[in-house]
Amino acid sequence: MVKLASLVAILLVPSLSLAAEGAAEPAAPLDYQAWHAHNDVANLSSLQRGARNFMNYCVGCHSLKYLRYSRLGTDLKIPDKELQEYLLGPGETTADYIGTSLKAADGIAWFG
Amino acid sequence: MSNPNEVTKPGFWGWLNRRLPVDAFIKGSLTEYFAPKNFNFWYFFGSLALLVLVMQLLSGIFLAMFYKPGATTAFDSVEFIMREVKYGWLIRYLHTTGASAFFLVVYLHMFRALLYGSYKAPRELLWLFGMIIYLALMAEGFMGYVLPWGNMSYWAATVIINLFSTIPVIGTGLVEWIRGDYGVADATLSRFFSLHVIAIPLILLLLVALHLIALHETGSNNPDGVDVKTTRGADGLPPRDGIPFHPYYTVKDIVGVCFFLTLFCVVVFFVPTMGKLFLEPANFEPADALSTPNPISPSWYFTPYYAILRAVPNKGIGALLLLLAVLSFFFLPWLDRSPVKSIRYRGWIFKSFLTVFTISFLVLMWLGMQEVSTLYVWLARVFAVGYFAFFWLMPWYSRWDPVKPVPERVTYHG
Repeated sequence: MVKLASLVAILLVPSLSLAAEGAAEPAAPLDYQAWHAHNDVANLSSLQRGARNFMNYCVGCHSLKYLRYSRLGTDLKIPDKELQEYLLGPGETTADYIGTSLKAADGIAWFG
Repeated sequence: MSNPNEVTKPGFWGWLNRRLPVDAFIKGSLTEYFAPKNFNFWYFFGSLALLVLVMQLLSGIFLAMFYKPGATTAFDSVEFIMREVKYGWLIRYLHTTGASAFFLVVYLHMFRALLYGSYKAPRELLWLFGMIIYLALMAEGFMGYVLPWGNMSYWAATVIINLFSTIPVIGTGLVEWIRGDYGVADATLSRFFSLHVIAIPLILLLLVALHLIALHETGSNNPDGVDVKTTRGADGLPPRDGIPFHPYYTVKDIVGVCFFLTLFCVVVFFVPTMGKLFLEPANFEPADALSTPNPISPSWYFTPYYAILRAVPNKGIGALLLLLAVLSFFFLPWLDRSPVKSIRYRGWIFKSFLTVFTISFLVLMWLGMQEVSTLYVWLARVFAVGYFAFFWLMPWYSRWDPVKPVPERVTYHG
């Protein structure tokens, strides 16, 4: 459950930063540890959509280096077949950690 | 004490005892070792401290199998333990909760000594061994906190090691010698690992043995502060007011262990972070020399001293007062001039000072966790005075204290 919660926290960080930009939302406090994503960790389909969105957009630059695909699949009840078809990168297996395709050297060259 | 070697016992038990004094040991320290019959709630914490020590050693052995000291590997290996090692999360939470539990039971154990004057003659050496255990425990706790190499690990190490830089002349060199580098770095981490897993635990075990040997030499104090002999008299009868440690106190301690483990497991399984007290969010980020967590605060068991350190504008004097705050406990047997040991027969002056001290300690503990503000700094100064007054005015107030007559034998107060 802790793993699941931390995964969800990571998955929902993008929505949080989007929300912070909205004028209607009160300004987030500077102490980012006080931020709250108001996520529902019991909503499985929401978590699955989050995983899909993360793997489609975020993982280009942001890895989940402590998490294996298999763990993600087990926790979010994603069947192995769908996991391999939709979430795994080319040449990756379910036992791999969720890495990013951004090479460290490229990241330094592009973003400093 | 009867000498089992005089009687030729048959069988393996006899064979063994003619070569190793097992029977004599069991008799001398358990079944024929007499402890006062009036122990109360406060006498649970010594055995609980021993239990936690064993738990820390066992969980530590398994953590060390998977932990990898090193600035680039430590944080990742802790995450590996939490996520991939079977029951690694449990072993780590046992160890982190155990660290806090250790200090909690040791603080209650020490408070018992203050309540019933257990540090007074003839138990000065017993008290000193206990205090050195406390110092070793602080070193152990501090170095253990650095090992996960989170950001708070890094900055706590930076702040605490820098305290040594206040020593004149050799300060800067000493700090570099401790760190093994110009800043807290890989060398610091690996030497702290070595000290945390072998050097200090060995010292702790030796000191605990000495603490227990000294205890069994003088015998336990008790809530009445009346001396009770530990062995049978010349007439072969058990001492007045003494009961054999086993089975009477082993059974009592098992009740304490069950109660303690229940609370302990609640923390381990439901609130391992204990609301940021036992595990802080800032330590869930890797060490970063360029990003200082705000506020930097040590673990809860160090915060009373940290509050005293921050209350003084001069870093050198602050560090000196911090040292004095810890070392003051060592002098208690000689500061206390009262003819009675137990709070039951002390007067209102001692009771007032002990109350002020207890409140001061707890408030300083809370203040050490807060961000610095003018009000809090002044509060810390006021309560630091309350803290030190207990120790350093004791030679006077303990003599003026209107004490009550101490009974000849132990009593029951329910």
